[in-house]
Amino acid sequence: MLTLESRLLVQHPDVLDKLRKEITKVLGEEKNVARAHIKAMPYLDCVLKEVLRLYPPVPANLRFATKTTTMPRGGGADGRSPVLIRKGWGITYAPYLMHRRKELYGDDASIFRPERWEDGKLRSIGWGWLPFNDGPRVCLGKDMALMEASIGIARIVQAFPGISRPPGIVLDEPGTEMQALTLVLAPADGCKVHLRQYI
Amino acid sequence: MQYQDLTVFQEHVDNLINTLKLSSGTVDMQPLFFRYTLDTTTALIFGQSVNSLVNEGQDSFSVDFSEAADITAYRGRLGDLYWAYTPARFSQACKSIKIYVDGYVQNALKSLDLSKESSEDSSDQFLFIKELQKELRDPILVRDQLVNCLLAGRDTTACLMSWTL
Repeated sequence: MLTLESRLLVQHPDVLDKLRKEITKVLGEEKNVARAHIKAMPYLDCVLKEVLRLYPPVPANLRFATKTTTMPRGGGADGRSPVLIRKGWGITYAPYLMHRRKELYGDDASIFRPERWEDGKLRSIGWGWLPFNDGPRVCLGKDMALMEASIGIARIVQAFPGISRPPGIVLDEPGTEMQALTLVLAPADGCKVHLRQYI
Repeated sequence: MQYQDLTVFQEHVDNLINTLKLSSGTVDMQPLFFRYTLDTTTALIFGQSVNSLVNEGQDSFSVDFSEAADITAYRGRLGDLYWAYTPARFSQACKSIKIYVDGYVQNALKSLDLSKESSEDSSDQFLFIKELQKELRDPILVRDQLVNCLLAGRDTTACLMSWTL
């Protein structure tokens, strides 16, 4: 069966190698990961930013208008006129789609490439990257989630030097794999990796 | 919350690594990531972790929670007709979750009463629940807020980690 059964790091050995070098340099054998360690791993931050871009855990969201207003574009035959939003109307928006727009991220928007976050060109992306929402209602758990995922990923990469793609699977472009959507967006067939032996 | 120095994650990430070390060959990490984030989130908001990575197979709470969350997602998509899809297992799962979380709320409230009597705050173990109770003054609302935080803290980060690795 031609299903994609593993995820971004084990599908991109070059990224995993580069990340492993950073983790080895900063953590070494240290098991007690502190905030200072995570701050010293900018590539890990780029990797997580890039995963959150392609797969925002809450891929679509909904807000209701507290008063009648307009949106600047999207109306009329050519989509360039304002759109009326009446009080109480719900507006659904999809960071999943926005994060894959070529106008925002370039022609390789659908490709997993953490380096795009390295050179500072995306510093002005603003709300074009919106996995946690923003403003007064920004996700309360944003920092907790980033720390928790950073610690988890760093420790796994550290403990399993031989981690790799399970044998016999086929690579797909991000976005074409099976996905499971409940309130959150998960891989439909799990996150299968080959561990080999740890040291 | 009380995670700023990150020590709260240490025990649970150790449990995650130890569980993985018992495996070899091809492993599906996704269920383990859901246990990891359930364990850390319950530690933070209940003041006590359900330790589902350690108590594998006994964690009926996480089974009920997954079931209720999945069915809630379908109900959400039905909009105003959400009530039309209410399977018995949904009601059962919700009931079990409420009983379970109520237990933590009651423990925290007892601790809050005790600290009032002794005019000193005995422990900050249930800090999050105590602060919610001070603000909301309604144990049912406190419980509902905890369940909300639990969903926000568990599924999202587990998905992030599943896509990453």
